[in-house]
Amino acid sequence: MPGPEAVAVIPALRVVADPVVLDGALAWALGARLADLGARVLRLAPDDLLVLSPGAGGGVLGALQEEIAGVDHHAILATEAGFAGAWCFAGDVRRWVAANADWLLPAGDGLSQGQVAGLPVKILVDGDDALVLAPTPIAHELAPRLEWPA
Amino acid sequence: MPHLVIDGRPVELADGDDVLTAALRAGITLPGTLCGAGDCPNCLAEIDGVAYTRLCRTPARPGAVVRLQPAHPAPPPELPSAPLGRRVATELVEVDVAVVGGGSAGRAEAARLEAEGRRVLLLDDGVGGGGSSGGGGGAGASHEVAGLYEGPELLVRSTHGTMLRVEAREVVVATGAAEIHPVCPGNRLAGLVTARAATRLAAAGVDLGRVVAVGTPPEPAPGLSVMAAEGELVRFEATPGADVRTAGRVGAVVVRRADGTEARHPCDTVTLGLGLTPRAVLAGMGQGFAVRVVGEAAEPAVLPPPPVEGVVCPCSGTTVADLEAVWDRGFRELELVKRASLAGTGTCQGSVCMPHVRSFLAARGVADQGSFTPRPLVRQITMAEAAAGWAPPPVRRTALDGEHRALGARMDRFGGWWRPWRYGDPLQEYWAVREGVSLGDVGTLGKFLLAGPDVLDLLEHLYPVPVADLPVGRCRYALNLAESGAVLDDGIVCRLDEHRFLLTFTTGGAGFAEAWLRDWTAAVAPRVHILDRTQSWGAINVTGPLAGELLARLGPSDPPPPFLGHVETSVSGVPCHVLRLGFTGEVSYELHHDISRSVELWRALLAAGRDLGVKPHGIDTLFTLRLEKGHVIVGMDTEPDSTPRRLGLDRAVKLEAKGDFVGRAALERTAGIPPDRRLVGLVPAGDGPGWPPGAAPDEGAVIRSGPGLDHAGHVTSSRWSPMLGHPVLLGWVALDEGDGQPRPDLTIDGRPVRVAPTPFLDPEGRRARA
Repeated sequence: MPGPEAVAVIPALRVVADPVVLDGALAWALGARLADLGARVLRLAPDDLLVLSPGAGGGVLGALQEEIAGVDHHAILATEAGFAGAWCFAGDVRRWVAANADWLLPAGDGLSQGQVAGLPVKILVDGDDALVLAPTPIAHELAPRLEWPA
Repeated sequence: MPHLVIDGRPVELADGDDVLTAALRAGITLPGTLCGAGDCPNCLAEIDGVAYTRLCRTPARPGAVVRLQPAHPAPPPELPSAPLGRRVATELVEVDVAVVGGGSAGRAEAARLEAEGRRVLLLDDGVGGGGSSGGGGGAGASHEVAGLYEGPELLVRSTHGTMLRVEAREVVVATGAAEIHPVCPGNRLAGLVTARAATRLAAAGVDLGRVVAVGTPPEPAPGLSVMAAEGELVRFEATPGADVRTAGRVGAVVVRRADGTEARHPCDTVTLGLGLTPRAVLAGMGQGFAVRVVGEAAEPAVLPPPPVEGVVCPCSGTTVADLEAVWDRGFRELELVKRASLAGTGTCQGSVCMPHVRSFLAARGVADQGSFTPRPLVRQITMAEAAAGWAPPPVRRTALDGEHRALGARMDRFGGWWRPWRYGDPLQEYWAVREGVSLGDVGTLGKFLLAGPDVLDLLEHLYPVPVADLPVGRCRYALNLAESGAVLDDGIVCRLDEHRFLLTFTTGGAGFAEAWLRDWTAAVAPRVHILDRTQSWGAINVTGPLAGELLARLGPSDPPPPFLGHVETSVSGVPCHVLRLGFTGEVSYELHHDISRSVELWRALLAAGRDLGVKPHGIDTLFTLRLEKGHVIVGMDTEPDSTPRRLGLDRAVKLEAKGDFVGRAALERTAGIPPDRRLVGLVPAGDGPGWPPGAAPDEGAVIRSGPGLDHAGHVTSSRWSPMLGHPVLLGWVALDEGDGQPRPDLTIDGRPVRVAPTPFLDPEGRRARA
């Protein structure tokens, strides 16, 4: 597991829009454009996307504006600094969840959301790696509750 | 030879010993019948500081420190002098079937289910010869099941120090049967063991002396020589000079033979084979869940003969005489007899006494009612084990938390956030706001963006003030009401464009606000997008007569907004939503911005305002400032049933100016009912002793009325006002039924106070609008 210094705000964009618009955009052009830009899309809710876009915010924002705001004129697009976290080993994260939650991480890749060790977290499992995200105002609690050495 | 310590005495251990075996081999005596199977309370002791631990279920460990519990009645165990501080880990395990009990029935069932391809976890405490396989807790761990909950879910103590929560599609209870304990005179003497226990103890090298068997004799074991006492058990007799810690040691057992005569058998130990009773406690917790019982645990109970004399419940010390007294008072049902006599309320959960209580009732013509209603826990767990897996809710930090601490702020928790209480002298902070310029971190406010074609429908339905007429770039104060008309929260509605709004809520109300918004959106206006910005945006309140000058120095790209106005602009290069409000009573600009820029903006403001004497202010000062303005803090000044009228906030409800809204029906329905109390402003009356300079009544102080000092209400907020030179208060006061006015002659702590209009300071609001 990384140390506490690895917890950092994850640069992202946030999109809230009509779920049908999001479905369509992600299934077609937007999904491909974001993949080309190296962005990861976390579907937090049917109407809510968190788009992780390290170093490519401008291109990603443009793609979102064209593909989503261009269709749903009431869509809310915003930069998002409200989540902080760190990449960890997926096996460690699975054990952490088993020891500190009322639920288990699903076996495959994907996004899980829930309470672990008293923290509302989002966990993106990608093969052997897992991104653990918590709201930035409680990010200081992430390292101690992940039981990383101080 | 390794040792453990029992009551200060070193005791040798042998391989495979449990603590009970080691203790008995060393000649230590324990009162009551010992089962050696974890069914009874007779070997409970404190082991390594943990009270209520069964010696027979605890593997003997070199160096363990054991304190035996005194003979009945046992006082509560002393708490350890220092906290143990041991954090117990938890593990969640999901399986298809959890089999509880590693005896022959449990193992066979587990094997059968595994052969069917099901994921099986066999749980056994490993002390009684059962096995343990698979699952959590680590290889080789043994598992003691402490409780069965809805799910079904099992709470399990692992010998590896972990508490397991086992979620299973099905639980199979194969806990076997317990041996029935004797109830007769002398049954609290030492030297009594069940037949199965006798075999195990003798095999482990415990010298049982002269052994007499009552009922079914024990299985043979090396060194175990038994003389059978044929007949019905009558009583145990003590030997003289017994250990004073126990009630004595058995010296003889008396049985009644078939011809009616009594036979007395001198002995050192009596083994008791009085039959078996299903271990039904755990299975009983699974009523209505996917729980199946197999083996001896599923056999029907065979009741012992009705008890005549002696201790029935060793946990509570309930005797047959106690049961008779309860019966004579009219208690007939098993559950009522339990509650009245306390039989079955102790640490073994009725395992020992239940067969006898049922037999007692059956002998009096009461139809058998089965067992007591069992509830978790079936095993005593420590506080650390009970708390395993629990984590305290986190306290949030704003993006400026480090800045506050670096400035020496005393931080405190408010509404789930760490907030600066004060940085130094609160008077300096106060005067900076009233006479110069100051910064406040209000990033904790709830902040939501709403947009969509139905957004006006939603907001008109939510708020008791009109929203549709709010021009773009303007803000309006608004209450949030429950359907009961009670005030839930308050905040600001700010129109960003035709179909886009920024809503703010109080710090404490932000968490509730999202659910409130989403619930009503789903109900009345589905085409609205909602984005919570509370954790994503910081907010700095630039407040004071020089606030505009400070802001101008940082080059906002647009002119600052008028009072209750809004602009989107950059301040020192940081994009901000600038809201001009007036919670402090002075010119105030709230700068809402992305938290990634908070520190930069804060430092720029402090640097640009240095010659203006800019200072940050904490919550302590903010409470004084807002109280001078008479602003209510929801949750602090309000009660769960506080309506706008009771709070004196009728002006924030526009019944005539709009249609239906949440709470309207309740407000209209109750409009004709005279209120019995009201939140009012209070100040010293000036015709009696007042408060010394700087002092104010305690918040929560009682308000009294008249010469009889009748209770008239209480103070919710109280501060000394530096500007006014006297205390200012908000408080609830009772209203007279006759004229609907507060009662006269109000006092607080013997000092006269009077109702005063709010705001106490600058009632026309000239300062905030300047």
